[in-house]
Formats: sequence, structure tokens, C-alpha cells
Amino acid sequence: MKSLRGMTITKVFKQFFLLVIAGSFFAGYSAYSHHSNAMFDQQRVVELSGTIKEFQFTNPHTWVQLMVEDDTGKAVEWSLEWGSPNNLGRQGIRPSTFPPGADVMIKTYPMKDGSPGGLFIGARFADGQTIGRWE
Amino acid sequence: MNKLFTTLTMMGLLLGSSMLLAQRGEDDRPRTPTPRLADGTVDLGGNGVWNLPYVTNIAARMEGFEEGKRPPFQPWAQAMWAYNRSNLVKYDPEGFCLPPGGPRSMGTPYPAEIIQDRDRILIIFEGGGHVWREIHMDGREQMKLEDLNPTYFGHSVGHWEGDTLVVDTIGYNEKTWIDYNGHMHTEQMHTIEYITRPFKEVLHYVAVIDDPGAYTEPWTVQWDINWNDDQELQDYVCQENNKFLLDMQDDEGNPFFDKTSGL
Repeated sequence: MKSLRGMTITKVFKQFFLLVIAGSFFAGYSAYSHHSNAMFDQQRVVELSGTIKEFQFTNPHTWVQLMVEDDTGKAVEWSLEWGSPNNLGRQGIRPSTFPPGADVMIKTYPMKDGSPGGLFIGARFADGQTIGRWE
Repeated sequence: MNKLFTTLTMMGLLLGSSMLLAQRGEDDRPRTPTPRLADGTVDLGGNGVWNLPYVTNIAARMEGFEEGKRPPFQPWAQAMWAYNRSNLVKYDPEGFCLPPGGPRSMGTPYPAEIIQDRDRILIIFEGGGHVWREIHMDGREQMKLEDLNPTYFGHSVGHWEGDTLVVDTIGYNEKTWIDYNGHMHTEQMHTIEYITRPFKEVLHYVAVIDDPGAYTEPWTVQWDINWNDDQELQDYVCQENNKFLLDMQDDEGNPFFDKTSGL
């Protein structure tokens, strides 16, 4: 397929589409973590690089479980809270969106208490495909 | 290929603009005439869903609201509201996946459908614990409060006044809050809701909240609910994996529930 600045046209469209859905999604989402977003530091974005352990496509909210190596080389499991499965489903997100074993970079608003978790912002796969908000 | 790109871009722009349109003010909305049933009654349903707004602070939906304005609290209700604010509303029953009940059900994510039967109207909610409420339309009188067991949604009787559905409800339990913001109520709460569909795309919702147990006088809230032709209700069962509860602590810092292995 013809490329535009290195990206295929399908990808350009896909990114635009995801930007649109991400915008509409986050407009409503920030107010409705179950049950408060107070535990997340929304002034700070942390970028993680790791491997998907599990995508818990569950009510009331979904969780992306990501294995990330810490400074000592030990694998640490991060729990990243995302939207509700009904709303994400409307936006084309599926349980297969994050296959176990996939290498991915994830942006998150981290937990204030320093525990390995946060509020999911967006993800970028090795092939350049992005999910959620990634600019 | 350029043509394909143009088409895709146009599709994207159309999608984007339709979503922007959905967020615009009332004046920009399409206005299709109010749908009606065969007998002329306003049709509150159709092939779509009502996109309930997320009303987090119901006081902000009072007429003439200004920043800092509060409902006509009794002192204890004001103190409890302040307490609920102080702990980031962690004891909000809806955080426990319990039903919203009362007017809050019309301002809780996610969408709802209104089903009109001959002698009753059902409102089914995707969110709020995947629940429904029933409004008796068979002309029966409202019951006496002392004859009702308190419930989340209470006992609702409705009738039409012209094109306005009027719903009278008593018999609420005290296990719900009126909103996420921490406004509470008692079993004495009596609500009268006025529901109209001025045009197909909008439901106008008005609720008079009269609770002599918590407020010094009745107060009125209102909001619009937008119609969405393109959606259907989805499955949403809040209770499934509510990690919020597993990590929750009481005021002394102890786990609110014992952790279990879960499902």
C-alpha cells in the first residue's frame, strides 16, 4: 500500500479514527473510574515498556496487566485501569486488543502511592499501531 | 489510491464532526417531531437508546444554580454531605455497585431504554448495576408509605398530563445517595418526575425532591437526555471485578472487606 510519511494509508485512517474515539472516550471516562480517580497522579505521565500478561475485559472496568522489568531486572506486574467493557466495546475494543505476550509501550497516570499501577492513557505496539491516546 | 484516501479522510471527518455535534449545545441539535403511538400518546421509546448524562453534582442541576449553592439541607444532611466530600465519597453506594434509585438513575452512566406497555412503563438501565424500574400506569392510587417496604426504586405510579408523563414515587430505602457528590436522603423522600419528549432527539427530565427528613423544603432539578439512534443496550454487570472494594479502607485504615480469591 502507498505510504504517507512511512505509514500506510490504512494506518493513517486508523490513527485518526482512534484519536476521535479516544477523545470522546476520555471526555467521559475521567469522571467515572470506579469509584474515584483520586488515587492517580494525573499531573504525571509514566511510559512503560513491557509484555502483556493479561487483558482483563471485566466489569465494571477493564485492566491491562503488564509485566515490566524494574531497575534490577526483576519483572513487576503493573495493573492499568481502563474503561468499562460495554463502552470500550462500542468503540471497537475487544478482549483480543491486548494479546498475552505482546510487546507494548503504555502511557499511564501512575498511582500516587507508588504501587505498580495507574490509569491507562494509551498504548503503542511494536508495529506502530496505537490504542487510546498516544501523541 | 488518492481517491481512497480522500474517501477515508471524508469518512473520518464526518465521524469526527458527528461526534462533535453530539457535544454541542441544544440549539444545534436536530429537531424531529415528537414520535407518537397509534393512540396519540407520546412514544418515549424507539429503535435506539437514551444517552443518560453523568450528573455528578445534582445541586448543579437546580434552577438558577450558582457555584457554591446547596440544596435546602437540614443540618445533619449538610454535615453528612461534608463528611462524604472529605473522604472522596468512598462510601457512595453506587461505588459498591448498588442501584442508583430515584432521580439519580436518570443521571448515571450508561444508556437506558424506556418500554411502554399498556398498563406500565419500564425503564431499563444498562448501568447502575444493570437494573430497571417500573412505573404503574393502570390508574391505581399511590400507596400509603406505611404499607410499603422500603426499596431502591420505591413505588412509582404514573399518569399523563397532556404530553407530560408525571411519575409519583415513595417508599425509597436509605441505601442510595441522590448523587455522586454525597447528597443523601431518608425513607421519607417523595419524588415527582415530569418527563417530556419535546422532539424526538431529547427527553426533558424534571424531578421534584421532597424529603422532610433531610431537607427543609422541596427542591427541583432538571436535565436533558439525548436520544441515540445508533446504539443498543450492552451488558454491564458492575459487581464482577470491582477492585475498588478490595482495596477500600474504612476510616480507621482497616480493609473494608476481607480480601478473597474472587472469581
